[in-house]
Amino acid sequence: MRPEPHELQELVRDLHRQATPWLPAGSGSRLEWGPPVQPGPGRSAPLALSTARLDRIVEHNPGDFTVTVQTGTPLVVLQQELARHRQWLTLDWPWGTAEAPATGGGNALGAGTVGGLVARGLAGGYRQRHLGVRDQLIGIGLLRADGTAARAGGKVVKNVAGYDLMRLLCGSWGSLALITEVTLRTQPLPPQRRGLWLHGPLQQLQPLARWLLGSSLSPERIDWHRRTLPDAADAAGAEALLVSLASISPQTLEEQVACIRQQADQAGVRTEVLDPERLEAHLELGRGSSAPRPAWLLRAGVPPRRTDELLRARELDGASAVIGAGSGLGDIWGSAAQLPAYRVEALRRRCRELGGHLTVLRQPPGPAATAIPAWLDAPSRPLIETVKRQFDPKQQLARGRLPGVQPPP
Amino acid sequence: MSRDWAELERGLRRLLPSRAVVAARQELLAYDCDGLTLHRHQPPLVVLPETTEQVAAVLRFCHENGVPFVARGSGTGLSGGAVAESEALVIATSRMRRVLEVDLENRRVVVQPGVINSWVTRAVAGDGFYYAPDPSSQVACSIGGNVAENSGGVHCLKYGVTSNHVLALEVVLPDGTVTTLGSDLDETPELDLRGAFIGSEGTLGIATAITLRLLRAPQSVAVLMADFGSMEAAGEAVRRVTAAGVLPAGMEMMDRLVIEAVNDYLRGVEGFEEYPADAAAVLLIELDGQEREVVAAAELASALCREAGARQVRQAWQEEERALLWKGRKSAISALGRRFPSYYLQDGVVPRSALPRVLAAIEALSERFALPVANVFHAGDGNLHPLILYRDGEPGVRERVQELGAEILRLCVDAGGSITGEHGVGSDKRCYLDWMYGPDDLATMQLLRDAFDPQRRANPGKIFPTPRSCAESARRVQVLKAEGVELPAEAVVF
Ligand SMILES: Cc1cc2nc3c(=O)[nH]c(=O)nc-3n(C[C@H](O)[C@H](O)[C@H](O)COP(=O)(O)OP(=O)(O)OC[C@H]3O[C@@H](n4cnc5c(N)ncnc54)[C@H](O)[C@@H]3O)c2cc1C
Ligand SMILES: Cc1cc2nc3c(=O)[nH]c(=O)nc-3n(C[C@H](O)[C@H](O)[C@H](O)COP(=O)(O)OP(=O)(O)OC[C@H]3O[C@@H](n4cnc5c(N)ncnc54)[C@H](O)[C@@H]3O)c2cc1C
Repeated sequence: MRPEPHELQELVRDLHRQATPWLPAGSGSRLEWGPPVQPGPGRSAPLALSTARLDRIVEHNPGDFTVTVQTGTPLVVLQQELARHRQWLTLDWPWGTAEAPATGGGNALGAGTVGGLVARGLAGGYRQRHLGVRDQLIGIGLLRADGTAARAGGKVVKNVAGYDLMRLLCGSWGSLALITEVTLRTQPLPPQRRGLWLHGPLQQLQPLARWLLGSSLSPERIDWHRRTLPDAADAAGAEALLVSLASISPQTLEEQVACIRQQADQAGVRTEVLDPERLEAHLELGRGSSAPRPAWLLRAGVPPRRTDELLRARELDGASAVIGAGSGLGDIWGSAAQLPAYRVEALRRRCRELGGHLTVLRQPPGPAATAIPAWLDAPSRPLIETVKRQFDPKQQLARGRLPGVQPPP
Repeated sequence: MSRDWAELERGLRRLLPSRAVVAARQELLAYDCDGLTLHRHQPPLVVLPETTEQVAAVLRFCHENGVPFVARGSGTGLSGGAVAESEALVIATSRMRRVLEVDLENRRVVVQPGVINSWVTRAVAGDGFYYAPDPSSQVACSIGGNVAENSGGVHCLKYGVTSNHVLALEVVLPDGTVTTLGSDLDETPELDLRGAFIGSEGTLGIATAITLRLLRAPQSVAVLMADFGSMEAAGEAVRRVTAAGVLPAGMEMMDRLVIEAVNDYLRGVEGFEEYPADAAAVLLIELDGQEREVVAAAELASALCREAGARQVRQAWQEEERALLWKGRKSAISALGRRFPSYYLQDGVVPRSALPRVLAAIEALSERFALPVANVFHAGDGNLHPLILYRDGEPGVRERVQELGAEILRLCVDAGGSITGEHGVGSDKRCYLDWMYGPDDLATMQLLRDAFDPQRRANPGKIFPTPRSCAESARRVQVLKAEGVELPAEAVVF
C-alpha cells in the first residue's frame, strides 16, 4: 500500500483496531533481506505500508547544515538537492546500488529511501571519517503501531532534551514504528577528492593498512576489497585497499597521495591513483556491481584489529567482501556454489570467536527449517522484547523480525 | 510516603561492606546538591558500591523493598539530576574508579562509571591517543555522569558528543538485572538500547562499565583568535568558515561583557595580551589534523575572518601560545564571578543561523529584567551559555533570575532550538520540556522508560513534567503567550 500522507494515520489506526500485522516499507528495494516476516493469517506476503508518497524535502537549511525530509524521499533525490548547495549527507550508497546514482545513471530507487536507510541503520566506508547514519540523525517523527504520531529530538545539531528515540529507531528494521520524518546533519561537499587503489599480496597490504590507520592522515575511507573485480583471480592478488582522501586544498591532497604512494612502494604494493570518476567506479564494485543479487549477502563485523584474521580465514574462500579497515565492519557476498551453507555457519563461528558477529541478509531459497538465522540473540534480548511490547503491544509490525532476537525457525 | 530508613540501612549493611554505607548527617550533607546549588535536598541514605555485583545487589534490594534511587557521579551536573528530591537512596559511583581494560589495538578502553573524564585521556596519551568528549568540567566529572547527560565539550563540533564515542554499556536495570547494551563494534545487530540509554539522566538504570572509543591525537593543532566590531561580523565569519568546508575542532565566541571582564581579570598576567577594548566579539577557532592540512585551513579561515570584518587575526601553533589564546575563554566564568558574585549558567541551543537575532533578543530581555547577561558560547553548533549575573541577597532577585532564564529558553525554543544542548533537563528544566514536545511525544518517550523501569523508581521526578511540580510554569507560559513575546525582526544571516 502506498497511502497519501493524510490517509496514513487513519489507516494505521484501522490496522491496529483489527490487529493486522504489517510491515513498514520504503521503496521495497531490500524489504525481504534479513529474517523473514510472518505475513499474518490468510496472507502469503506481509502487508507492506510504503512511505512512497511521503517524499517531500520539508526544509533544507544550508546555513545550519541540517535537512528535514519525509522518509519516503529517495536517497538520490536528497543527495541531489543537497549537492545543489554543495552539501551532502556523509553516507555511502547502500550495498546493491549498482551504478552511481548521483551521476544520473541507475534508477533513483535502487539506492532506497531515506527511511529505509535509517531503519536499517547500516553504514559503509565513510564511517572511517564521518561515523554512521545514527550519528547524523538529530530528529525524528514517527507513527506508532496504534497510530499515535510522535516526535523526538529536534532541528538543531546539539540537543539533549528528552530521550534519544532517534537512536532507538535507527536500526530497528521497522519493528517499532513507521518513521515518517527525519532531520539529519549535512556537511559541505569536500572541494577535492582523490582515491587510491592499492593492490598486492595480503601480507604486504596488511602492514600498509596498519600504517594508514596509525598515521596522521585522515582518509575518508580505508576499505579492504576482496575479489570485488569481475575477473578477480582466486588466490593471490585478490585483495586490495581502497582509500579515499578529501581536502580543502588540492596541494595538500597531492601531498597525501604522494606520501601514501611512497609508503606503498616501499611495501611492494602497487598504487593506482583514482580521479573522482574512477574512484566512484571502484566504489561501485564494493557495492557488488559485478555480482548483482547474489545468493548470499552477509553483514560481518569483527574488532578492527582482527580484520586481518577475517580476511585470511579459509571460510571466506570464494566469497567477495568489502570490510572497513578501521571499523572491522562490512559486507560479504557470493553465489550458492561459492559459499555452501556450512561455510557460512563456520564463518559466523569465526566472526564470533574473533569477538564480532555475522548477520545473514540474503540466503539461497530453501526450506525454512534449514535456513540460517539472520541474527542471534543479543545479551539484552529480554529487554529488547519488553521495549517491543511497549511500542507494539499487538505485535503487528514486522512480525518475527526484531534486531537482537533470534528469529523463530 | 515515609519509609523506615533505619531498617533499610540495616538491610543494606548486610549486602555491603560497612564503609560503603553513609548515614551520618554530617556526611550526607555532601550529597545535598550538584553543580546547580540553587536546589538542595539532603538524601536519607547514600551507598558507595565498588563493583557491578554490589550495584546489582543494592538495586535488587531496592526492587524488593520498592525503594526509589538516584545515581550520582561526581555531582558536577548543572540541572539537579543527581539530587534526591523526594526520599530516595543515593547510589554514588565515587568508589568505582578503575580503568578495567585498555585495548589500544582496537582503540577502546573499558572503565567503571566513576572514572573521571580526564583520566581516560591521561591513561592513553602517552601512546598518542585521547578520548574526545571534553566537557569544561572534565577534571571532575565522571564518565557515568557523561553518559547519563550525553555531555559535550569544546571539541564536539568536529568530534561529536558522548553518544558518538560510547560503544558498549554494562547496565544494572532497576530490578537488579545486569545486562550489556551494544558491543565492542560500531554496529551491533540489536535494537540500539545503548543509544537510548545515553542521555537518559539516570532514569533507566545505572551504568556500571562503559566501553569508550579512543581517537588518535592529531599531528598538529592551531588556534586562531579574531576580534570584531560587531556580533554580526563575527557571525558572518563563522558562517563563511563553515561554508568553505573547513571543519574546526571548536569555535567559541565571547561577547563584550565577557571581553571586558576577562581584560580586567587577566590584566598584568604574563603573556596575556588584552583584547581590544572596543571589540564587540572575540572568536576563537581551533583547527587540528595533519600538519599541512591545518596550515591550509588556518590560512583559509584567517582570510575568511578578515573578509567578514575581523580587525585582527592572531594564530598560535605552539602549545603555550595556544594556551594563552584560550586563557581568556577558560577564565571567562571566574572573571565574571569577580564582578558579580552570583551567576546562573543557562544552556540553550538555537539554529546557527538564528544566533544573531537570538543574541539581540537576549540583550533586550537583559535590559527589561535589569540583569546583566554575558554570553560565552559554542558558535559552531549554536549552543548558547548565557550567564545571568546577579547579587544574591537583593530581595526577589532569585525569582527574577529564574524567570529571565526561562524566557531565554523560550527564545531558543521559538527560534527552533532546544532547552538544553548538554546539561540535561534534570529537575531544573522539566517544566519546560513540554515547550518542545507534545503529550504524545512525551508519552512515547515514557514507553521506553516503562520498558526499563516499570515502577519508575530510577531517578524519580526527573526530565518529565509532572502536573504537581509544573502547574506554576504552565501558568507562566500562558501569560507569556498572551503577551505575545516574539523575537525581534531584524534577522541577520549567520
Ligand atoms: C554502506 C551501506 C550498506 C548497506 N548494506 C545493506 C545491506 O547489505 N542490506 C540491507 O538490507 N541494507 C543495507 N543497507 C541499508 C539500506 O540503506 C536500506 O536497506 C535501503 O535504504 C532500503 O531502502 P528502501 O527504501 O528500499 O527500504 P525497504 O527495502 O522498503 O525497507 C528496508 C527496511 O527498512 C524498513 N523501513 C523502510 N522504511 C521505513 C520507515 N519509514 N519506517 C520504519 N521502517 C522502515 C523496512 O521494514 C525494512 O526492514 C546499507 C546501507 C549502507 C549505507
Ligand atoms: C564548571 C562546570 C563546567 C561544565 N562544563 C560542561 C561542558 O562543557 N559540557 C557538558 O556537557 N557539561 C558540562 N558541565 C556539566 C556536568 O559536568 C556534566 O553534566 C557531567 O557529565 C556530569 O557528570 P557527574 O559525574 O558530575 O554527574 P552527576 O552530576 O553526579 O550526575 C549527573 C546525572 O547523571 C546520572 N548518573 C551519574 N552516574 C550515573 C551512572 N553510572 N549511571 C546512570 N546515571 C548516572 C545522575 O543520576 C544524574 O542524573 C559542567 C559543569 C560544571 C560545574
